[in-house]
Amino acid sequence: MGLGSPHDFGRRITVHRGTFSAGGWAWYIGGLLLLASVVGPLRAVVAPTPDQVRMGFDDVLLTAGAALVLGLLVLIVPVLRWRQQVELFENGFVWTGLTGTRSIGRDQVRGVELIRHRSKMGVRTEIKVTLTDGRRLSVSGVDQPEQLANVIGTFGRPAPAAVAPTPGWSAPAGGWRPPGT
Amino acid sequence: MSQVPIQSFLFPVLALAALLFFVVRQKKQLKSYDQQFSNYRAGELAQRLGLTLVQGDPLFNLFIRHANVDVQRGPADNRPIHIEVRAQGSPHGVPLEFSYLYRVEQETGFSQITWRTWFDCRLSAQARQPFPPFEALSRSTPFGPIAQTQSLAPMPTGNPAVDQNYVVATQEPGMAALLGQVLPLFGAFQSSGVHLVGDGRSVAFVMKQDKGPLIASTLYYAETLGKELSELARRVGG
Repeated sequence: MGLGSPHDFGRRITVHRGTFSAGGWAWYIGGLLLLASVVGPLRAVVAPTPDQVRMGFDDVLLTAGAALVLGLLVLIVPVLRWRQQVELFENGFVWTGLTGTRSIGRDQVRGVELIRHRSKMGVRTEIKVTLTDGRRLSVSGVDQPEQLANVIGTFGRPAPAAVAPTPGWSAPAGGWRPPGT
Repeated sequence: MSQVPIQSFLFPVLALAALLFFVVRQKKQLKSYDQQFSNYRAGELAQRLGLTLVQGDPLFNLFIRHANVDVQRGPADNRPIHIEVRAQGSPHGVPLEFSYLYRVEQETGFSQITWRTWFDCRLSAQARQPFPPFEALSRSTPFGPIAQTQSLAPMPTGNPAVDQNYVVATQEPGMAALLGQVLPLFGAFQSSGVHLVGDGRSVAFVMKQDKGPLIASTLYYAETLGKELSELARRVGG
């Protein structure tokens, strides 16, 4: 039977939270557009520029509305990256974000790739998890991504002896004691 | 011809001369660093550890890796960088192996260049008997946190000094208690970080090129590392 619920995932190893910096330049561009959507109409009321007078207040509001929508669209990705977390357990992980929660068990993972995207927009680290059913999850912008990729990577391989006994070592009754003690 | 100002010729020539000067100087500096830190060359390192080099270029310098012509030239499509070093022996009574792998593949696409990098550097000691898997890592290093590699949850060792400086992850309280006694032996490596991985058959000290535990700082004490790691393998696996 597959591991589907966090209750089956064993003890918690770490929590990887989304980082603000993962949004990069999008915060700046989205922020400027939101600011423009507020400042434009305000200025048109308090001290309109000649351009605003020529356009008329309706057009100023229309432009501000467009800037607001565009700003919100630009900010979707950084907000999604920032407000997410991945809880890593011995036998799976739980990825929580604004769009919902996904629980992935050890036996659902086929492989993982850690990708660093470098561009003029900055550096972004992405973890691509391939599942046994062929689906792919892409986690971007969490802290300590290397550790997350390392541990999820072990899910795609045979489990450590202590988690699922292998020919290597299996837990003796009454607990392990160092040799010769 | 006489109307063309002299600067039009002079400046490009000066720029080329400056470029040449800096390239030659950089190569000379690399060569001198390679000489200065020759104790990090694969051949000398194997000797320091009491091991025999079984694979790799004995002149490859693990600290000054840009002294290697392939690394310096960088990868190209269909011409990856591939450096592999392996040294084996049992200078302290248990089988000890040093392994180093650095491979970079390049793939040039229409709008992006993809580099695939493999890196692994570790000194491992084989244990006689299987033991419970564990991982021990410094809580902090000057180069950022160390990334855990096994799916094991943290467990207190019972030694407050160790618990303050290290995260010990295992499923067996007996192993955590043993690591609580043994980890102080690795105090010499604390400055750049400690990362010990026990996979159930062998114990390894894992190093990184640009993060903690740094190869350069750790292998400065290569002789001590070989001794302490062999002792740890004996303690966990008889």
